[in-house]
Amino acid sequence: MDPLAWLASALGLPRWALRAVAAPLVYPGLLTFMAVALFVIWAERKMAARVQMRVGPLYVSRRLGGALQLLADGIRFAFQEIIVPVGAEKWSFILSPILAFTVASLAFTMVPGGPGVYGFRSSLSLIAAYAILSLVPILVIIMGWASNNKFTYIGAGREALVAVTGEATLLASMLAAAMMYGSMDFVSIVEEQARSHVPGIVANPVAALLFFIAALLVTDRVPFDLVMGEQEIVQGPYTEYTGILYALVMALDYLKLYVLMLMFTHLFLAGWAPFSDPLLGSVWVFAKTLALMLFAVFLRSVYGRMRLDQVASMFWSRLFPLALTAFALSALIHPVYAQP
Amino acid sequence: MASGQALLDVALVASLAAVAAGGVGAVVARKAVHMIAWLVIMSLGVASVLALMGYGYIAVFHVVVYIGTSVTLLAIVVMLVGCSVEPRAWRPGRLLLALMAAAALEAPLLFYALENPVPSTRLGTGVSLGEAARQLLDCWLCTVLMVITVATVLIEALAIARGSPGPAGE
Repeated sequence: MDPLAWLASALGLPRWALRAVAAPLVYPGLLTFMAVALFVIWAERKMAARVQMRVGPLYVSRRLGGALQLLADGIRFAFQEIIVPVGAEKWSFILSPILAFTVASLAFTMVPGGPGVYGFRSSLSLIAAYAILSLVPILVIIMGWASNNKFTYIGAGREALVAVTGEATLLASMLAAAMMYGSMDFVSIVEEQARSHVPGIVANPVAALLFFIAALLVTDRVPFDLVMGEQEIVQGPYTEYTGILYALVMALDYLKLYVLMLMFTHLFLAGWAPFSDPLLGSVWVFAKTLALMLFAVFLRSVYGRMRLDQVASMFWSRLFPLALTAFALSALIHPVYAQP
Repeated sequence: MASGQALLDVALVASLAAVAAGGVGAVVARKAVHMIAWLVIMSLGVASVLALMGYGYIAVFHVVVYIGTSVTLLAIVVMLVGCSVEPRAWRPGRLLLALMAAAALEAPLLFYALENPVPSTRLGTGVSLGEAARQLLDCWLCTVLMVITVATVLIEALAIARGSPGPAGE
């Protein structure tokens, strides 16, 4: 028997309501994200250590190569005191990280995790998931303002610039892909790729590349980690946070990265195709997403940080026009995916 | 089915309440960031009303363009340039007067809506552009009033933008 149907009947809830709760909370949502974050951050530190000829995390669970270091850190954060600076706007300061994390995880209601594994299926799910993610920068700006600190303020300014710059290219590449498939529904996008046996990354590599680069920018990854900018502005808008709130704001960028890489998997890597079994398909989607995330965090080891003005001019004067080329390419390739 | 309809009505009323509360909040708030938070609530309310009316596509793009980008830009310009409005004294009388003036201006719209009620079963189906244009031409006074409202808001915005610059970054 379908476990979802069984659980729905046991709890006396309609199936759609259970779906809508399970997607953001269990898979592909927060519970899975916690495991992903623990693994990806550990892998990021280990990879950087290997490149720099260090050992990396080691002492917590020495036999596992220090894999439980992040869990130990997380537990420590949970028991640390949350310090609100004297000049801070107390409620904005405390509520905005919680709200930002909640809003970002709502995107999981729209992005499927496998065949038939989704919160809501809508003909606009692609753009709706993006719309939800686009609310997060405002909350980061509020964090930076509420902390009442010069570094957080500069960080908030950078976040706004980065959000507007990155999202223009991200949205353009996403719409180019949607135009290519003739759909904004993740499920039908994956079905189109499965039917034609041509994954989006082969059909429109320009859009895929731009999506990936813009995703690195909006999730604050190296070489575009301007918002955090550790050597310049301490921790950017997150400077004043302590305890569990610090853990939340640190996880926020990884959460966004996870959502965007999940979207990349569906848009350009054919999602769960060729599997149609919910379990196998979900595992396949998860494996692709994890591999993409590992690649994204690996870049930290091999790149330096770009300057703010370099990033802005690169995105607006080179990548954004390239995104318009991606549209043209999509128009040419559209017949491959058009229904016969 | 009836409970679904009632739920839709409740959602619509809640969204309209969010629009009203956001609008008043954005004007009354003292700090730029609070104004922005209210503006976000108002825009989410508008998007939700649009979605409930059946214009899902416009609603989603409303969120992307007006909240995701415009409000972010607005936030940073207002905060970094520091052109905040001088904190005014709290005058409930003035607020009431402004609300009454706005109500008087919009009253013909309300009367027209009451005279030509749209059954709530039509919610969520959307109206074609042609039908929307015919409705607007049917009630030309409504159209004129809408234009006046938008012009008023524009003039008010210009007046606020010309306000004396406050201390940088509040």
